[in-house]
Amino acid sequence: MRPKTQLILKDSALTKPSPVAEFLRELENSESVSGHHHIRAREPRFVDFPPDLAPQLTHALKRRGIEKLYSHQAAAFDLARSGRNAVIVTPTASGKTLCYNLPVLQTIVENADARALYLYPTKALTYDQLDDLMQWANQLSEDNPIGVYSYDGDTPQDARSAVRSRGHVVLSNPDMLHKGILPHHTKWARLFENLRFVVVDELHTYRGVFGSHLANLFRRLARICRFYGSAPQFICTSATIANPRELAEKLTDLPFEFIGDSGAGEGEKHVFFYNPPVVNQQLGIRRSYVKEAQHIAAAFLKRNVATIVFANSRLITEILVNYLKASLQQDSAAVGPALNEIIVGYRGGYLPNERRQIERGLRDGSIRGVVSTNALELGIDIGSLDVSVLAGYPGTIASTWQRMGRAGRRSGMSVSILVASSTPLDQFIVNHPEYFLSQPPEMGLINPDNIHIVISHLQCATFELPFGVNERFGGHDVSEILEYLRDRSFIHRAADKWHWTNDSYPADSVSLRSISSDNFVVVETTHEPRIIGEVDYTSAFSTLHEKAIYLHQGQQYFVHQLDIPQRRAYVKRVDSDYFTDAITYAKVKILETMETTKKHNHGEVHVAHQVVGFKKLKFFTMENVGSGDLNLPVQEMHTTSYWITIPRTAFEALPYSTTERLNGLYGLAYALAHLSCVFLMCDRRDVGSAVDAGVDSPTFHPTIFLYDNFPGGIGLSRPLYEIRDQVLNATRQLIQSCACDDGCPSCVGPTALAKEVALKISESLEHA
Amino acid sequence: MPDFGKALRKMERPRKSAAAYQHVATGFGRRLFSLAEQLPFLKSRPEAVRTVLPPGEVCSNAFGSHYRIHAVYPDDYFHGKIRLGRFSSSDLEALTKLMREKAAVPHRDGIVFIDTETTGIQGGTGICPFLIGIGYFAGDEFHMVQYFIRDFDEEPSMLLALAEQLRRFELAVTYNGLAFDIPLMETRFTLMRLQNPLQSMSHFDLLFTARKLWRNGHGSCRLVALEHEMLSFWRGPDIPGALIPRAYFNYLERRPAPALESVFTHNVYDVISLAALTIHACDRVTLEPAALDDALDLYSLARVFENSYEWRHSRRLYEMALAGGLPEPIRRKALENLSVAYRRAGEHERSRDVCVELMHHPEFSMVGYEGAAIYYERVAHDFESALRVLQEGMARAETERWKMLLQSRWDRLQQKALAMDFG
Repeated sequence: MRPKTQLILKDSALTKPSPVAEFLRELENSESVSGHHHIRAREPRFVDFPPDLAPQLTHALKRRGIEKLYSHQAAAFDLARSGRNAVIVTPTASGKTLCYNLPVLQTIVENADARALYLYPTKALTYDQLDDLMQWANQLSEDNPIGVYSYDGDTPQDARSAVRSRGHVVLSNPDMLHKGILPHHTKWARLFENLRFVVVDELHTYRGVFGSHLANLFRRLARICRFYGSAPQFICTSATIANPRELAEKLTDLPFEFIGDSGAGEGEKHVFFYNPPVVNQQLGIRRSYVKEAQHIAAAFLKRNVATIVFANSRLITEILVNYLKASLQQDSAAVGPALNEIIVGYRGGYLPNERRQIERGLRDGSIRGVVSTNALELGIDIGSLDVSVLAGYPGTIASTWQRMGRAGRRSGMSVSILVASSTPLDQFIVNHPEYFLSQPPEMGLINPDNIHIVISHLQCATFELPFGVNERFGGHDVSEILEYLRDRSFIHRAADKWHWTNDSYPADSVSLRSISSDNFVVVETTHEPRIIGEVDYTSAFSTLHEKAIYLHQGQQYFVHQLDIPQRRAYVKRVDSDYFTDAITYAKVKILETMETTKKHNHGEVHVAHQVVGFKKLKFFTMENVGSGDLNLPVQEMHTTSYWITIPRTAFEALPYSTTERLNGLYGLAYALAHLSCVFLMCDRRDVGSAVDAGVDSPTFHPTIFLYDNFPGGIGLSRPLYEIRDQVLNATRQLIQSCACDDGCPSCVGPTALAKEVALKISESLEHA
Repeated sequence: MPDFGKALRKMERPRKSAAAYQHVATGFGRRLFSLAEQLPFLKSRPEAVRTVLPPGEVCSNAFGSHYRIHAVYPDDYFHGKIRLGRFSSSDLEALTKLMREKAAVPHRDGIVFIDTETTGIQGGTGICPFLIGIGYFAGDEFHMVQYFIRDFDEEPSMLLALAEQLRRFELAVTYNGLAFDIPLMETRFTLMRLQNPLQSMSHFDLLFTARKLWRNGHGSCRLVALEHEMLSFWRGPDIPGALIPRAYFNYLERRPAPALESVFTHNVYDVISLAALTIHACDRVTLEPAALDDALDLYSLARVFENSYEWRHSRRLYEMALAGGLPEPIRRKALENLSVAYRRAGEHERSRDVCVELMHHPEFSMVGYEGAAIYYERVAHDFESALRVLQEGMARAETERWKMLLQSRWDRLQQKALAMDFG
C-alpha cells in the first residue's frame, strides 16, 4: 500500500492553483479517501438502421450525422414496432430519447391520425425535450406537418385548442394530465381516439407517493382510452433502479419487456469516496462534511473547472452557496469578478423564471458553479459539467449515480466525489464503497392501493366518466368505496352507473406529489409584501415555524408569523449568524397487527407527529447558541409499520441503569432507521422512527417503530418486516465497527454507553 | 387483493378525515343560503315539502325517456316593457351589426334562445346540464320548451331529443354561452357519442354585446340586473344561481327539494329575458339616436357601429355623445376614436382639431400626438410642426413603449426631412 497523506485543503496548491491533474493526485493520496473507483471509457456498440425504418426517418437521422443506431435504440424500436410495452434503462446521455422518438415518429409518418402523449415529471424537462422534438417534426413534415406541442399550466389559453386538435405529440406532465386533460377529455377526443403511445420518461421518479398516485392516474387514463376505443402502448425510460420492469408493470397494469444493455459509449470517470477526518476521537466527531465539500468544490472552481455541488436539503444548499461565495471572495482573482453570477443555488422553492435563468447560464457557461438540491438531478439539459461533488450521501444508490452522472454527460474525463456526513447511512456507505459499487440500486416501491389515494382518484374517475356499478378500478372491486362516497353525497347512483354530484372539481383537491395538497406561501414583508417561495405542508412546520431562519438564495429571513389557516408565512430579511433546526416528536399507537413473531411485527399504526421546538445553530461552527419551544398542531396519520417488541423482562434484566437502557433503546432505533433505508433502498425521509419505552405501564413492552412516513403507507414496512434479519445484522456490524468509543452520530448517536447497550439489546433479540 | 372496506373503516378511526368530508357534504346549503335570500323564498311556498315537477310530459325515444315542459306565449305577451311578438325583419338586420362573426342572420323562426341549468359551473366532464331551456318564434307565438332529466340515466334521451329539435335552427342566442353553455353541450354530445347540432349553427352571445352596448365595461352585466334596467322586468323570489346544483342533488336523493320548482321558473325567465334583451339591443341600433338621451349609450352605440365599419354613423354618434357630456376617461377615449373616424372619412382639419384638443388634455393621449403628427406630415407637409408635436409627446409619454413609438416616428421623419432638404 502506498503511503497516504492527509489531504490538506488549505495548502499553497489551493491559493496558487495547480493543474487539475495534480489536485486529483493529491485527492487520491489523501487518507480521507476511503475508496477510489475508476470507470474506464467504454466503446459504443452500433447496429444498422432497422430495415423497416421509414426513409424519411433514415434521411433525418443521416442529416444529424447519425449513420447507425446504438444497439439498445434498435432493440427498443423493434419491441415498440411489434406492439409491446418497453422499459429502457441505460445511463445518462445514452440516446434514450431516440428509443421512443423513433417508433413514435415512424407511426405518425405512416398514419397521420396517430397520436402520442409524452409525460415528464417536471415542466423543465418538457421544455428541454420540446426543442429537439420540434426539430425532428420540421425535418420530417415537408408534406403533412407533424404537430409537436407542450401542454401545461403555462400554455396560453388561446393556444390550447390548437394543441388539442393539431398535436400529434403532446408533451405534458402527470399533474396536467390529472387536472387539465382527463377532466376535460371530450376536448381531447381526437387524441384519445387515436392514442397509440404513452411515453413515460424518468420512470424512477415515480416512486412512493408520487408513483402511487401515478398508478391511479393511469387507471383513469385507461378508462378514458377504453371509452374512445384506444389502447396505447407504453414506452418508459428510467435511470438505473433495481426493478424497472416491475415498477412499470405496477404503474400501468400492463406487461413490459425490459432493455437494460446500453450500446452507448461512456467517458472515463473517477469516483472518490471521501470521509472527513476525525477531529475528536472520543466523541467520534468528524470535520463538517459541508465544509469539506465546500473546500473540494472551491478547489475545482478556483481552477475554473465547471462544478456542480449537490446538497440534501434546501438548508444545506443555501449554506453551501454562502460558504462557497465567502471562500472564493478571498481569492476572487482566480475566477473573475462577478462572483454572484458564478456560484448560484438551485432548489425547488425558487420561482420558475429564476430557475430557467440558471439553466441557461449553466448551458452557456456563464455560470461555472452551482449548488443544487435534487432539483437538478433529473435530465434537465445544463450542458456538460466536469465535476460533481455530493455533500452527503443522497440517500439512495439511484440518486447517487444520477447525481454523479451530471458530470461528464458527453465524453472526456469527469470526476465525482461523495463527501460523507456523519450519519450512520453515510458512514456505512463511505466505509463500504464496495457495498455501494456492487449493490443494485434501489427498488421503486409504490402502493397503488393506498386507501387515501384510491379514494381521491375514484372521485376524479367518476367525475370524468360515470362509474359502472360492476366496474373495477385497477382490477379491484371498489363498491365499498363508492358507497362511502355516496354516503357523503359525492356521487349518486342512476340505473347501473355512479355519477358525480358535487359542485366541486375533484382534481383540484388532489396533489400528485403529496398525500395532502397543501402548500404554504412565503411572504416577505421587509418592504412591499411579495411572495418569495412555496413550501409544502409537511415541511412547513419544520422550516417556517415562528422564529425560524428561512433561507432563500443565500439570504436569511426571520419568520415572524406563521398563519396556518391561511397557509402563509410572513418573513423579514435579517442578517443573523445562526440558522435554526426544528425538533420533532412522534408518538405511535398500534391499530392492528397483521403478522407477528412476537418480537417482530408488521401492521397498521396511528402516528402523531409534532414539531415541538427548535435549536439555533451558529454558521460555520455549528455551535448550539440557543433554543425555543413551539406550540404547533399535531399532524396525525394512519400508516403501516414494522415494529420490534423487546420483552420487558429481558429489557429490565440488562445490567444497566434505567437511563442507560433507554439511551440504548433510542440509539438502536436511530441506527436501525438509517440502515433500513439502505436495505429498503429508499429515501431517508420515507421511513419514520419512534420509540415507545413503555415505562409508565407495567404491562407494556419497549417498542421500536419503523413506519412508512406517509398516510396510508406506501409499501415499505412489509418488505422491511421480511428483511429484518439482514437489517439487524448490518446494524450490529455498524455499531461494532464504528471507530468511536461510546456512541457517535455515525452509529447510535452521541450518548454515553448507548453503543454497548444498543448492542446488548439487539443481541437479546437474536436468541428467542 | 386489498380489502378497501376494512381500510375505509380503519381510516375513519383517526376521526379527522371523515369529519372533513362530512363537513363538505352537509355544510353546504346552510353556508351559502343567507337568511335574506331564504325568506322571500320560503314565504312564497309554505307547503312545499314534496317535490312536484311543473306539469309536463314524459317523452320516450330510442335512448330512453326524459321530461319535457312546453309553454306557448301569444303574440301580445309582454316581458317587462318588451312585447316579444314585435321582433321584426329590421331587427334581424340590426342583429347582424351586433354579431361578432359576420354570419347572415336567418329568418326570425330560425333563431333559438338557449339556457342551461347545471350541476356545477367549474367545467369539465363531470358537470351535467339537468335542465335545458330553449325558446323560439313560430308564427305569431313564442315557444318555450324545457328538457329535464329526472335522473342521470335520462340524459342520453334528452340530448337525442334536443339534437333533433335543434336541427331546424340556424342561429343560437345565449348569455355567456361562448364560455359556458356551448362548450358544455359540446362535451355532453361528445360523451353520448352524438353529432353536436350546435356545430353547424352560428352563435350570438348577448353578453359581449351587453358589455359593449350598456356597460362600457362598468357595472353589473348580470342578466337579472339588465332585466330591471332595460326591460323593467322584476322576477320576484328567485333562486340564487349558486344554490341550483344543490337543489337538484336534493331532488335526486329524494330529499325534499322545494327549491327545484324555482329552478324551472328561473330557467324560463332566463330564456325569455334573453329574447327580450336581444330585441332591446336591436332597438338600440335601429332607433333614431335622438331617442337615446344618455350620452354614454350614444357612445356605446358609436362603438358598435365602429366595429361594423360604419364610420359616418359612428362619427355622428361620437359627436352627439361628446355634445351630451361624457365623464372622463370615456370622454378622452371618445375624442380619440372621433379623431380616427374623421381621418378615415377624409375630414382632416376636423381630425387635427380634435388631436390638438387631446394634446391639451391633462392625461397623455398617444392617439392625439400621433394623429396630429400624421396630419402635419401627410396633409399639411409641415415637417417642422410634426417634429415639434412628436418632441412634445415624447416629453410627456408615460411608458417606454409610447416613448419608443413616438421616437421611431420622429427618427423616420427626421430622415425624410433631411432627405428633402438635400433634394
